[in-house]
Amino acid sequence: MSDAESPFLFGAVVGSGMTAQVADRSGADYLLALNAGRFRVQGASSLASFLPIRHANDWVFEFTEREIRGRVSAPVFAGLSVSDPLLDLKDLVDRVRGHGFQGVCNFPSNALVGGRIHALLEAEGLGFSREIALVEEARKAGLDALVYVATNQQALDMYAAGATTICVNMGFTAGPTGVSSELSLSSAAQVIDAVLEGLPPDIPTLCSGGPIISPEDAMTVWRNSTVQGYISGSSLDRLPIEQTLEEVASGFRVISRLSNTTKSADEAGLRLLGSSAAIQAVNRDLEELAAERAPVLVMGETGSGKTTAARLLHKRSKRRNQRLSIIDCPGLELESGRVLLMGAARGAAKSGQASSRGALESAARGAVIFDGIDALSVDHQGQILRFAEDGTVQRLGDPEARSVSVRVIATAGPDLLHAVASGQFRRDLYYRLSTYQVEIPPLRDRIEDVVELADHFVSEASGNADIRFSNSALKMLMDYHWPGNVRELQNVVLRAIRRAKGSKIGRSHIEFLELPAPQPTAVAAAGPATPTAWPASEKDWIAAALARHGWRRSEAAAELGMSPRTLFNKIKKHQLDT
Amino acid sequence: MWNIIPIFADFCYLSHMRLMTIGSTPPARATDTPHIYCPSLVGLSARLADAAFLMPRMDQNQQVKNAPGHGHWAAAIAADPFGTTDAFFSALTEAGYSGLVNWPSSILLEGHTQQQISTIPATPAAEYAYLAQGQAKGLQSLAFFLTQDQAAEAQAAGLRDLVLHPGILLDVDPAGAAMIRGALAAMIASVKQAQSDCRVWVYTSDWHDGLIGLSELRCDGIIRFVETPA
Repeated sequence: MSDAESPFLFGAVVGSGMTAQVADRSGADYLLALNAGRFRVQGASSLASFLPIRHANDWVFEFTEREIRGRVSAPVFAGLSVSDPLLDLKDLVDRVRGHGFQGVCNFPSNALVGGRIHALLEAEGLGFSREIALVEEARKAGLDALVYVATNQQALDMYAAGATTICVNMGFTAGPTGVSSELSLSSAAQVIDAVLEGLPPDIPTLCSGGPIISPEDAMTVWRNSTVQGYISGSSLDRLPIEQTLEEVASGFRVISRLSNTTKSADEAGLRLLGSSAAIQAVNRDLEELAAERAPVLVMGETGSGKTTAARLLHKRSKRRNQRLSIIDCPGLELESGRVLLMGAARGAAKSGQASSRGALESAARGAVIFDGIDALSVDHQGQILRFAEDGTVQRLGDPEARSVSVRVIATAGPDLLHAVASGQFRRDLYYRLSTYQVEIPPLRDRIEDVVELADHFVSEASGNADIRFSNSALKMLMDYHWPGNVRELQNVVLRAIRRAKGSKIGRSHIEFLELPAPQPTAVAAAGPATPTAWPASEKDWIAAALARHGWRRSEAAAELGMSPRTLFNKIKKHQLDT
Repeated sequence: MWNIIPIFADFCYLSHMRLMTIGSTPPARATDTPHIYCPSLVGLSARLADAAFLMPRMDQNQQVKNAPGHGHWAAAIAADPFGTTDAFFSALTEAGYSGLVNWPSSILLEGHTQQQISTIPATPAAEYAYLAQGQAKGLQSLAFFLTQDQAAEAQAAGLRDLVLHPGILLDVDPAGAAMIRGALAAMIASVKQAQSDCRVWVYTSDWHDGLIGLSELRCDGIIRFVETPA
């Protein structure tokens, strides 16, 4: 484990004057001027740093001289490529000194390259062995050397060559960059310790890349390994900048949509919240139907506000001062449900028990809401039908029917009509209940109400008028499809308030929302090629497999599902060796 | 330019095998052999030339664009993230190039390097799409490939002149050489069978010929690497 008493070392890859100065002001211990950083700040991938698209070394000298030199106090290291056979290392080191660098860094490094190109460069003396030679040359010239390594042997060789700081590189930064890493944070810590094993404790050690994409990740790895610090590349000058730019930009982009949002008149909870035309139409319906005595069926998706609408219907009616009974239809059990609805005569429900009124009688002169009536059992449907038809209830065990004046309001999901069509719900009861029908639109169809609803829920939950959503967070809410409707929005608001801990609610506090995936823009990552329509002769497939595996027969045999001996025989059979 | 050297404008009308060279020597005003100008090969041996894709020592596209084409061919890095392809292709045409080649190429990448570089994006498929765009702008194209899957991708992109690369050859014994040669011959036949109007060229060099005799393969043409000292 890292020594908690030792300071955490922080290195920053910089590709521009701005990133260098910000990292320097933030107290970076090392600044690494790498062509990868330059590519990133110009909107390109770090991986382009390996390609013959720019002269890596000249580029580093150029932007460091123009934008960084003399403007920072932290030591600056030059990232140098040495794979060019025409390169003279001594001349290169002289240039490094001339540009005032503290030292050299082997980047782009062959340590990060795999496959036969790696082997070829090593075989030609242009791979890691030449990077070691660079370090030796730099040390002879009095320069420091911060080096990237990927294996324990490389680390030991670089230390022997005089490297002054060693950084375990776990590959390019994974995650949002599109690069994949096989390492988790815990396995990364193990890999780092394995790479650093045998190094004396006096040499500073760092790590970079792989699964580490945030300061928190770096801290986890630091705590769980012996490494002393971290060099931030994409995790400093790409990912957070992209995130910030996206947040700020979307905050601007949503302004026109937010300006169309007005707060609806507050009528002491007498209206469904929202200014959309759809919800205003519902509010008008509720206002008109409040004066009626006939049953009302309120329909809508789960969480859309059916029960709230039903309550408002009663609250606006002349019966508002009378009792309102709400019956949770899905929760009604077959036997006890009848008693709950209709009541029971003395001793009918239970021996010795006094007579009791049911929910319908209890709501006399008031209203009853059958919440989720589409879940009502067929037996209960029959009991409700009789009540709906003649306004009478008959207690269990009581021969006498009692007349009760109760306004009936029912709520149901969109599947009620299917239940009626399939016979699961009585058609006659449906007609009785749906004298008037109110449709509550799903939240996705009145997305302009999201802002007002979110503000309302924030105020209601926190009681703190200072807590607000950022514009970009509101845009996220407006981009979401809300399958759980208003209820889901309310839950999201509560969760966001907890995550924000009293501060403004930003995108990061609601990142759990599963927004539709953006359309892919990058070319698909490499992998097994799409099956093609080649003429599938055995000879062709064997030839293709051999080519894919660089003529390594054992690997080709494994892919083809045969032993090397069988493959050898088939090569003979098809005369592929003639 | 098109009228001056029509032989380069349509090299495939001849039925016999054709020859082109590839190297870092800038195109000469008049030569009998069409040449592919690939500056990133400067100073590289035939063996080392296969690593040129991962040698960041120049802006290849810029160098190609700035040299007069004289009707010869341009080797281009399709993964260059800067500028636009339309502007680049127009510049090549204005410079006098008649064709476009994806070299050096991502076709030789393997394993995690292949996956990581693909995010640039730099993949064979992206290179073939790039060549197809060049074709649409009036440039001829030659598409390097290593595997049958890559050849199929190139054909699917509408490319018909494909260059078979033998891959990076590290340690090849005589038996291995015969096997490689046999497999390549089978692959050429298969690629041509899959697309009857497809022409398959073979990339080789003196070194490759000495190792596995690539020039002996039956194909539509040879792209011969010519080593150029710095």
